[in-house]
Amino acid sequence: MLICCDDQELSATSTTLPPEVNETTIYTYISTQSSYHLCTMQIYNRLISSPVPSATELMSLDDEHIERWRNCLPHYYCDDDLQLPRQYLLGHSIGRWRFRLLRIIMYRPFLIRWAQHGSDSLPSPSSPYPREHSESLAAENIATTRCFRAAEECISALFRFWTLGTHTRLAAWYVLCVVCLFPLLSSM
Amino acid sequence: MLAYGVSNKATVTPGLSVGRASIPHDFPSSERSSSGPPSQTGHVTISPQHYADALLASRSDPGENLDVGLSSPKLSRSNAANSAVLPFESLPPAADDDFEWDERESSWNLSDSGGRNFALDSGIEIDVPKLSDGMATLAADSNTGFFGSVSGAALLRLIWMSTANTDGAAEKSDKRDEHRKYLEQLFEHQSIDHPSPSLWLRTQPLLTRAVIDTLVDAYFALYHPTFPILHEPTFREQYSKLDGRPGGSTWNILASLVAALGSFVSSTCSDDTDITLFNAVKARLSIESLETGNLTLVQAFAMAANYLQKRNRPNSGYNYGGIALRLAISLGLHKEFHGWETTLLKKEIRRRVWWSLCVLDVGSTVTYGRPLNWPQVGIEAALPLNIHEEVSRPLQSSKFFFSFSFSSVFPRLIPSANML
Repeated sequence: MLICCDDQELSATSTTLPPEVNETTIYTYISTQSSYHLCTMQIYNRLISSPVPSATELMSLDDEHIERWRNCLPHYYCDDDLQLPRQYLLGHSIGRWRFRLLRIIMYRPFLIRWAQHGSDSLPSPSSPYPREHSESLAAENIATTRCFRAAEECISALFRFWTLGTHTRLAAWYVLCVVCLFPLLSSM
Repeated sequence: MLAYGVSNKATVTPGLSVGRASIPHDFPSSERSSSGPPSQTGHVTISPQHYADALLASRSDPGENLDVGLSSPKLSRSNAANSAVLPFESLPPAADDDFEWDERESSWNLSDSGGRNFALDSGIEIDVPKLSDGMATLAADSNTGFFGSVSGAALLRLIWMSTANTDGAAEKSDKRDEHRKYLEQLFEHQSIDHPSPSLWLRTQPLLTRAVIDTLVDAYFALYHPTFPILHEPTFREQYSKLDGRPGGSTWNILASLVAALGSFVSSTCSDDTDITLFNAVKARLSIESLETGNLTLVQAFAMAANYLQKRNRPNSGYNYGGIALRLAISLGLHKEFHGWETTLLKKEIRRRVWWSLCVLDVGSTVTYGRPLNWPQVGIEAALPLNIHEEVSRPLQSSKFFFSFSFSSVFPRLIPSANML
């Protein structure tokens, strides 16, 4: 069984690195996801630390890290409904869901609070806590909106993948685990 | 070649560009480590409303530069005393929950008429394993391991507890039991529809070379694109020879894992071939496997971690993944060695292994809401090159029939009469 090699490929006998290509390869998913994790570790560490981050802080972290990472994705692998070869669809889709799931986790406490207090997000008169500053209240409302938007986009991306992608057990595993979160949220 | 020295709070423009990518990250400073123990004031129940209000009580003013360093337990306790409610993290576990877990699954389990399982060799009665999902979304019951506040399990637990916090003690426990029974019924329904591994074992066919070929092809076609930890051309070359392979039995472990994952990803029914193959992997792994280190073992433990997660054993996968990470660091996969006179391919394979492990380990740890084990300083490894790899595929069906014993998939090969 012969293994084809040419100057554009890396083999055991290569003495120079081949040039990278401007299209999706078998390593694009790993590279982009690795950079995603490196960019968002700080957010995750903040989420699991005390004190609980404010909406303002979370949105700042979101803009600085998640959104910046998203905007720096290569054009052939950007956060869009791309026409990729079938073998790359799952990886690309997972990438699109993953950062949106992080946003949902970041902002869901504010969504929960909004769901409890209503659209004006005001605490009840009997609440023992001081009335919220209007700026932080506005930030929480924006955070709630971001949570909804992330969920909506996630569902849309999921639906697209399930329509176009190969339905393997692996794909089903990812889709089901992501989909589980939404009924949990809606049951609050 | 990239030589990125990680420094505290170093800011690098993230993302990929054509050419060797630099590492995009903002590593937190060493001072910004995890907080101290969460505040606890005993078993206080909390509703989502209380949780949300607790955010207001414990939060600093907007715009303040929050220090996420070690918070003093005294400060945490005073916050709790002022708020009279607990932050999300402090939802108390059940009285009988000490977070211990057991995801073991004996390969020789056979069902008796009473529905209990017995280990064939030991005769020890083993309970039906508790079903769980690989992302631990439904692990809200007790004794399933620790899953942090950002995990799906925590959200489910919050929902259960909020449902229990309705007026009327009888209504509280009724609703909680109702939820629990609903989930249990869901799992029982699943096990009726899909036969247990024990039933499959009784009718297990021989794993022929042709079958394994198919599974290997399936792995590289369907699984490898999201987990390219192996170098496909090298693996296929070694597989085609089935002798002289590096690592001896370690390579057998790897090949069994490739077949197991290939079976998992390609099966369209309740086929448990992958369980058989994974049990062959476990039969070859011993405690001595922890006393040696090579790249093949890193790949094997990482693939095993991946497999276990996908097979809904999150804690087991977490353990295997931890071993893979430690092995990888012990081999220096996180570093770049300038002047190292080895092949460029070998160096690039090491990077691919390292970053595949990153996606696996960080991804699963975040999913479980656990503190990261991934090193946040000292990483130099460049991201993998965005290049294509030409591989001659698929494997042709072998002219010969090889039979494999059940206990190990790639042992001494038994040639057919045609060969003799």
